[in-house]
Amino acid sequence: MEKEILLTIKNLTVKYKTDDGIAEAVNNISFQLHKGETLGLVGETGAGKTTTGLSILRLLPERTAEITEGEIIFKGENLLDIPKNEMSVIRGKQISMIFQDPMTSLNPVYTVGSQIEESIFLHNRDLTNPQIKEKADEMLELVGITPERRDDYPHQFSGGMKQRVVIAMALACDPELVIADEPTTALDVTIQAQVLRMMDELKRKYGTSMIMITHDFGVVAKTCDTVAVVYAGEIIEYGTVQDIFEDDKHHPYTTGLFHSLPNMNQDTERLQPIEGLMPDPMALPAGCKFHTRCPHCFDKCKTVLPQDIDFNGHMIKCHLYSKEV
Amino acid sequence: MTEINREIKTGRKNSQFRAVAKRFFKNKAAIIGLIMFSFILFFVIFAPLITPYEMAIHQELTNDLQPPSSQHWFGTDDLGRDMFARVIHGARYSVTIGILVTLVAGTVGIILGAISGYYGGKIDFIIMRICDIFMSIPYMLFCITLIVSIGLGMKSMVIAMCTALSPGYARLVRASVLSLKGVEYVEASTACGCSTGRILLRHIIPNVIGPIIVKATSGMASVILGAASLSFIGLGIQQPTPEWGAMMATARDGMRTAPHLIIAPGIFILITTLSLNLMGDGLRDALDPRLKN
Repeated sequence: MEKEILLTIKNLTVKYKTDDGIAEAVNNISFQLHKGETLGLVGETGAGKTTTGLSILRLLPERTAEITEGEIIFKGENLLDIPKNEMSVIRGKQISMIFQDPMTSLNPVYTVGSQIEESIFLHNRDLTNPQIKEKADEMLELVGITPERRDDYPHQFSGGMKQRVVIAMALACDPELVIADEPTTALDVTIQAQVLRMMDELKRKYGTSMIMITHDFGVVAKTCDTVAVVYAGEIIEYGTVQDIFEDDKHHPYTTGLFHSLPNMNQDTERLQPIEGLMPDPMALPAGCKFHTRCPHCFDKCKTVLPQDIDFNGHMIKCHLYSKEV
Repeated sequence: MTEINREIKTGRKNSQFRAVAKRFFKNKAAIIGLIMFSFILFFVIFAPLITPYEMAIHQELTNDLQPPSSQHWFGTDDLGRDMFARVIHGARYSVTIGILVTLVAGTVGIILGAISGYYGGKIDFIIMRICDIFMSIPYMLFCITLIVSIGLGMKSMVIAMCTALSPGYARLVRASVLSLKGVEYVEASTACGCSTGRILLRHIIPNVIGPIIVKATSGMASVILGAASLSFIGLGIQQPTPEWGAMMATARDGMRTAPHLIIAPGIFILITTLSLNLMGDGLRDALDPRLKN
């Protein structure tokens, strides 16, 4: 049974124009997200994960960033063609975002209750005040905060609680898609687990789709259905969680990422990090973007951009596998 | 149930305000300022009850230049008008001008600064360069030129002072807005579907209001002083309206023989500006305790 497709991104390309030059943050990214599923965008800092997330909501900084190419089709409509003022109807109501740092993503001058109420109010103008309040209390309870704390200010909450409030805000209008931008990075591991479990429950309960932006494979394993590994603004490997974690074939970058994680089953003296750094987005190398750091690099990699090679839905963008197909 | 909820809500809402108030009232200088300003404010509100306005403009030429007595507490001026009445009615003008100019200049400044900081680009450039031009001309000189070109009087003085002062507020607000624009909760409110106006009004301006309040309080003192100076040189409020600066200007000629004419309004100007400055300092420390050390 084929699930309904909620979001399709086709050949998305985003460039940042800065004084020093043009940074190619996102290069030709395409993926699909089905209803109720979670897609993980995994990659290093600066790989273009957040830029991808922000471009879905059209929240990129207007003056520097430009979507030069591509389509973002949400429920059959290209979000890039929608006029600016109509975007605010979609934001929060149909697509909402959870930001990385709960410490700064709540406004310090308002109580948490009123901040949740605001996002409800914005998209349900017909509700009366008591109804909005009731709904906000409901949301607080849903994320495990007693409604009595609705009149507390953000500084009176701990980090984990704040992230719960942020999640409550994001889910307040029952959005169909939630973009979670490293929602647990700023939290410690125990709270991380709690928050992730809660997000998973809520997602299941409401059938919400999610894009989980993270650099943590643990988070991916716990929450995602499909995974896209992003490197230098490209998806270099894409597949189901099983494909990424259990398949033998991998992009050398993904292999490298796994090598740099501690493994319970193997006794290793030292972890093997990937040598080198991400290429400068203003001067991306020709050919395969990863060739400068790739242990398997050969001549073709330096000049020819590899094609996506599909192994029954598990896609790898690498010349190593081109012979096999 | 809703009643109770509201009670809890207001109780909590006040708690932040109370924290600021608590810090404010710990500051002795600020309390002195507050007491002094209340004293002035008392005259502003109750002046007509203490002594009718007619007393301030009623001339009694046979009774001129009297020293302070039980009948005329601050003596009489060269036209035999009661100085006490003139001084306390003058408080009404000075304080009203102070509040009005600060309010208008502050509002205009907030709007311009917020637009400038939030939108950036060309709009920002145009607004800020105009502000730069205004600010490059000395405050007094600017007011004098503007008043002379649009005509003497209270109205043009208020207009001139508002025009001269709003760029300062605009700059302050712009700087704060710039630093707030990139903050995640602002981005989050966009992601929630807030309109630009709503983001500016509800999320950005409340967060930048602290320094504005501080600037406005001390700014009010300089407005009062400025208004007195302009009236002193004859560009502001005209005789016979009782205004401290104008009163001092007329009293200047008889300074040696009737010093009370210059001392009485002078002391009131001093009290008002000093109290506002003390309060401004106190507010600054109370709103941002980190600045104190």
